[in-house]
Amino acid sequence: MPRRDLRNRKNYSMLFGLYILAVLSFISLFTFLLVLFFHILVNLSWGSFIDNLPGLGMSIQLVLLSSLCALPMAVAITYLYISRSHSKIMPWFKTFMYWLVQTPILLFAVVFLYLLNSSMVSLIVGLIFLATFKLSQRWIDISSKIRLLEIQSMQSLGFSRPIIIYHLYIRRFFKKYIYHFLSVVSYLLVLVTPFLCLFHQSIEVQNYLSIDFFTSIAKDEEKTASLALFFVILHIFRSVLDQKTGYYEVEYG
Amino acid sequence: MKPGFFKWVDKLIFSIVFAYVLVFLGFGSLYLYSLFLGALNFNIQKLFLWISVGLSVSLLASLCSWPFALSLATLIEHNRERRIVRHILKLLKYYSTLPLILFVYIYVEVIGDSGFLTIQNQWDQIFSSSNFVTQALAFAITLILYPLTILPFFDSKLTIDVFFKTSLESVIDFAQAGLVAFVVVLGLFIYILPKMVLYMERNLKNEKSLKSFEIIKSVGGTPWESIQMTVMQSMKNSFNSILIHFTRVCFFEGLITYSLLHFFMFDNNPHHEQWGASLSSIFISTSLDPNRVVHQLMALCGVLLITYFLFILVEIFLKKKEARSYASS
Repeated sequence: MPRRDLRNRKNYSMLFGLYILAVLSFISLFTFLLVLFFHILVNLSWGSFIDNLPGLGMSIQLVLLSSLCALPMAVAITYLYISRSHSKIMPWFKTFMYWLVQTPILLFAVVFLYLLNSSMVSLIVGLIFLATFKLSQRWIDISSKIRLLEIQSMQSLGFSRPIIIYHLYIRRFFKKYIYHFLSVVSYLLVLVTPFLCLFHQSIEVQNYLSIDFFTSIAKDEEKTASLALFFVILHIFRSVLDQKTGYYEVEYG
Repeated sequence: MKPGFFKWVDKLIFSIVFAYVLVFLGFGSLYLYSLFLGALNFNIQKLFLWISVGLSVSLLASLCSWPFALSLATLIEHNRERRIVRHILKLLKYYSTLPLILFVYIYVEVIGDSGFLTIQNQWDQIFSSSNFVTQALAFAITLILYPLTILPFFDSKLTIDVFFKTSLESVIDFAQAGLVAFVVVLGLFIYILPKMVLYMERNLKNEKSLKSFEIIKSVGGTPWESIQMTVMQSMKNSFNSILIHFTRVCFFEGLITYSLLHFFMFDNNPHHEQWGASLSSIFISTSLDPNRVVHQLMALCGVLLITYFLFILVEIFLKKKEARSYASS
């Protein structure tokens, strides 16, 4: 057999191996998701889900309140970044934000729960800080897409900085900003709230958030399934929002 | 409105943000201060053990998932136009952002109860006593390591029988830890696989390797040759940074979450006690004394924070190096 053919055969078998590996890994991931949904469907009790809605409702209320408090500060940080994007310090600032947002949730939880004596205020302050940095990092990311040429041409026409920012950023991305806000709210609900609740020692927070519900989930299959369903719904909601904005937090999901 | 008003607003916003960042940094420094207080009472040896075990397990998980992620990324990149691949990509994006808490739930509650108990039973049958498998392993270890006893610092009276028995005991002991490592690596593998696929896929897209792929195909290259010269080349350059990045993800997201299970998942549940206690014991019980849990947890988090920033610095350095090598090529 000619040498070329032998090499081709080897090459095709390698390619085939690569494809087999890909299909196998996809099937394993898909099975994992199917198991999750199937388990929730089998164990779910709507009664348990509805019974525990007040506890979850309180979490939603708390996170929404914190995110709303974080909103003006996130807008201010984004404005500052845009208005001074040409200065040398801003790339460093962006990197700082990126690091901060990527910091593991556990570290955030420990700082705001153990350091501040586990009070309700500490929980809200922690959530506000997290929501601020999360929102501003996202908005800085989408604002970076604006071209310098557009800003310069508007400046040459004599428009002031706030007017330029309003026209180029706020008006253009208004809808996206709302989606980003909702996405961050759902992120905090899904990822942060359980961590914060589980670590919290304060009785006032425990009463407020119905901590019993979270701590007793392992003992009750129905409760666990209903909580998982809540998180799945929120996650789907967040994925749809991120798809609308074209923003996927792959690196720090 | 007068232009002076806008300047005033601008300055106000600047000072508010400046104050906000200062407050945050103030919290950070307070945290570091209490961290040093906590670190005074901390057992460094146990912490070192915790971190070294965690890092090795994370590295192993990243290494295991690399070929799988690469194959899936290649498949997606080269069949991007097909509708099914677009759906697969959407599914992967959904999967990659799956919250940790949900992932832990399914891994521990759903798979843990049935799947891992079966694995553990099989594993115990194979490794927990002196049988053919353990004896064969001990024999292999003796065969390889016994010649080393001629070195001067070994006990010269150590006979081959005693060495074999010691090896057998070590194999049985090590097998218990091996099960825990296997379970953790498997969990981390499933957790990072979709993230890694998307990361690689984005790298490929950024480097415009698809154009080179088309060119190589048009000049008569086989599909494998074109993949080898585009995808493999690009992945070879970014291998280190991918490995560091996902080891960090595994360590800081995955392992910490598994450690948290100790707090809320393993309460009085006999099923969880069987394998779950040993799973978390490496990461929590050996390093945390319940009497001084707050101080120790803070010190642990502080060390983790420092490790985290070191990881980030290495990652940035590697990315810059790769960008330079890519530009020069």
